[in-house]
Amino acid sequence: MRARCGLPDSTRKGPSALLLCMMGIVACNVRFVQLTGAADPLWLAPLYVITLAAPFLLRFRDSMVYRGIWNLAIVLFFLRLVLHASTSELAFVLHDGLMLAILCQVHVLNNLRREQRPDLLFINSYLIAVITGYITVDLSFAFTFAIYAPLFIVGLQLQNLARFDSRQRAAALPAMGRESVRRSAVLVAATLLAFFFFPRDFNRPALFSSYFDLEADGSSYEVGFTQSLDFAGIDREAGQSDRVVMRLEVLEGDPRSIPRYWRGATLCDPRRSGGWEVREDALPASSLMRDPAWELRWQGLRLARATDAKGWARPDGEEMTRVHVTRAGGVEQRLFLPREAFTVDLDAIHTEGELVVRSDGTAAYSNPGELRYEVQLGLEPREPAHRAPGPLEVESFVQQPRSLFNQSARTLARELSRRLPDDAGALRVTREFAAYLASRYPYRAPGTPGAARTLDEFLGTEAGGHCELFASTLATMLRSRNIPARVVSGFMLAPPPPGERVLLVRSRNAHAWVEVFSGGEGGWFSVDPTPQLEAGGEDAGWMSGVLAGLEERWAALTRFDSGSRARFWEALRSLPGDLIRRSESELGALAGLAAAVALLVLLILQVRRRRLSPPATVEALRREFDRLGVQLEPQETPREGFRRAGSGEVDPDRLVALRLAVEEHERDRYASVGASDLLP
Amino acid sequence: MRPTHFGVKSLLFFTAITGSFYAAPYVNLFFLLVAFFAAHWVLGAWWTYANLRGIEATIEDPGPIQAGTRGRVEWSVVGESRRFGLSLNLEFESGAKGTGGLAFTGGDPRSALQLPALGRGVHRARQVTVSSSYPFGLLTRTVTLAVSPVLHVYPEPTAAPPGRLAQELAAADATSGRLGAQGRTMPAGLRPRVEGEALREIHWRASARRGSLVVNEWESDHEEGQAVVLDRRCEGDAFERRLSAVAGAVTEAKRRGSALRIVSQSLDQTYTGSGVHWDEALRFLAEVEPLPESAAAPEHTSPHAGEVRFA
Repeated sequence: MRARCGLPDSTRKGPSALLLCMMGIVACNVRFVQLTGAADPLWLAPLYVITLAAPFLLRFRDSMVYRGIWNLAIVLFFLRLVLHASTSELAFVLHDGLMLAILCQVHVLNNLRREQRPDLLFINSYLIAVITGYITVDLSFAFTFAIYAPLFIVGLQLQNLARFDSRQRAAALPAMGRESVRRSAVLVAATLLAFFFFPRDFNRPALFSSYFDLEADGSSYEVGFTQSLDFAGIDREAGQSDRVVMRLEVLEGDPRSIPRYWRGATLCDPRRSGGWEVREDALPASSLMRDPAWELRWQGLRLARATDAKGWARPDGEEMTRVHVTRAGGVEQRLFLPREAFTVDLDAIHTEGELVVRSDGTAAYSNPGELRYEVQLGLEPREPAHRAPGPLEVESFVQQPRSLFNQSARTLARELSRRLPDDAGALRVTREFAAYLASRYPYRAPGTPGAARTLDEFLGTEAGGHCELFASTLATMLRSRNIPARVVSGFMLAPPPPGERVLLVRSRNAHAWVEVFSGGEGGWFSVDPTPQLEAGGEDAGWMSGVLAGLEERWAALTRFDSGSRARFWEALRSLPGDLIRRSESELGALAGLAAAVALLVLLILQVRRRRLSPPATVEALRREFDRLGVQLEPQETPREGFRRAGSGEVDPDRLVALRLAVEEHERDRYASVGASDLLP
Repeated sequence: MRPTHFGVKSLLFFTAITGSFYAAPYVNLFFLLVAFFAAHWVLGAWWTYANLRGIEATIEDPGPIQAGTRGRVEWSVVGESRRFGLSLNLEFESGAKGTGGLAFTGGDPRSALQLPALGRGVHRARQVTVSSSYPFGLLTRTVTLAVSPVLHVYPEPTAAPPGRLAQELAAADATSGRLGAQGRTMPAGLRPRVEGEALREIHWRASARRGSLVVNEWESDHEEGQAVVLDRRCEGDAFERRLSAVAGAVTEAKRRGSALRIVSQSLDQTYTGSGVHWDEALRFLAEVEPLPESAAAPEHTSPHAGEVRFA
């Protein structure tokens, strides 16, 4: 027995159970980080590979060169973190920190010395789970944690047994595996009990909220939604992630009437590269270019239409539509809202952050954690008032840099304008341009091989492109015709399945479209030049149904609050009454259920009894000894007991019965034995 | 119960994430993760406690152990409860300690405990404990067992018996002419096996016929072939050297299957080829203490050709 031992050496049969367990834990950790979207999958792919290659790589752990390479990689990554923290927004610290943590985790796995205990690996793994869990509400996190938790439990037990020799470990492994299943189930049950019954304040503010104020000013955290477009070499594949970024629950109204376009940011400033970015000083000199019907004001935790929002109305009764939104944690502190939003109420838990409302109608909340709010939709004005902005106001939305990247768009706009009458208004021009783009250029998903990566390439070839290229081209074309336009970045919802009141918005539902100002239309209106774009509707079929059900339950767990607890208590209290009521109305079904439960209990008891009780031959042996009034002594074999019994005055018939029982027992346990051998 | 090193680290980590939980705005998932970790601590403590609840163990008598060697003691857990990750710790009055581990009691509930190298004498265990930090390694529980094994450590035999004794023994064997093919004396018959005798002594075929275990009885078991006389009237290294020489004689006689008579103050005993008897001789050598110079000399009334006097 080794007194203190870390990772048991792999045997010829393969890696040890503990190593396999730790590989699983680290792979789960990489998956956790991947779910946050903090790192590109291309960055994480090598970590998956290195994790799975641990049994091979561990043989080099004593090599100075091998260890040097690992340590150099860690130091370089740490320097990258410091560089980011000092030169970029603070938000990058989270991404880099998670990457550094997972890199260290893989490093520990691949460098564990023989005498080293893997304590750090276990603790670090849970730390990664906690941090990523804080910024992820995705069901995928639950799936991954469901794999991670048993591995964590089994791993701790295997680590505990690592100090024993391989023979003893091998003997303990099957029983330990069975114990682990039981222990994991008990642990999960205890956790859920604490979750449902532990008294806690669901609206508790942060103790040190100021230290968690990670307000990012226009950071471009890539989870599909983006606050800046740049076609110069940016890889947008992350936009195809299935990560759930928003969960919408229709509290009131028809789910199919929910607006499809949910705005996150408007990108007003064009870049020389052909891309766009958020204008930080989003307030023009005059308020005319602001959309008065779109202005929101802050009333505590409520955003509401301004009193001068002419024409907008709050619907009542059956027309009222209320949607509760749960936005995943992250660093894109935007509130995603449809243009039709009339009031926005943040949940009471959000008391510590700062709500910022921009003149373009977008809003942001400074706390980067999970955000919950309720949106009530309003009715747009039927006859909007005409508005006439001044030349200076118009100028700020028609600017575009002279750049090779947008030359083609300007040329195309000029050519298309020739087909239109001279007095064509902004609305007509916009529709013509958008229709031309939608009919002329194919849509290609981000990252599709061969798709265009610049505006010129998009317009000059048949390569096609994704929504950002369509929107950027249209905005550039409109601006070149002196029509105020801006690109909008947000999410486009898929139509919900019939009867479904919960909509999941995934990262791949991110979308870009264009808003155009028209005085005749009373302000800004939206137009989407991207053709045939489906926002990634859920696949039909039983699997999607199962996933939707799981999503629903997981969301119920993550959104559990004092109201949920009250309903849970109420349901528990009313359960006996409900059962009695149901027994009156559905007696047959209830009796069937009771019979099934009783059968199951009996079956379990039978299995347990069979497992715990001795074999039948031993029972028979005990019975015969009892009849003769003889008790086996400690260490005495049944045969010796039989001889001892035979030496006294006993009933010959019972002695014969005992002899048969002994024979049967020995035959059952050892092998056949001659009856004559037992004769005294 | 006390926390292990890993338990201390885990506790610090738990404190940190609990602090972070309260420092950040309330989030259900964060609470679930903190609750899971707390539950794993609470249940881990209970399971560690339950793993040793009501535990009983037996330690088999290993027989005499040679001084300066690391002996092994068989120990086993009593009862049908399945226990994991047990460590048996044996602490002697001399301060020496021995440890042994048992990963699982479900299959074979026995294991060997490695003893430290002990000096000659009778070593009584001051405390026998069994400890475990199973399942999660956060806490260690230690239970004191109600067993007090006594170890007899006989002196390290001299590499070979003194030349004179070897010659005497060989001469005696040659003259008697009863040496078997393997250097043992010829079997003289069968007798019932006595508890503690080596398994290799059992005559399996005869045992099967008779229905009870019998062992070979050797002719030399009856004889009083050689004798050693141990005079205990000396101290220190001289006394230990005498004991080592006698131990050498015993092991040599045991190897040859000869009988050996040991004569000393308060002892005149002939030891024969069965293991129990040799163990008694070795126990005597483990227990025996020096006598003052004023003590009487060992009585030796029946001199023999093979006699060797250690004085």
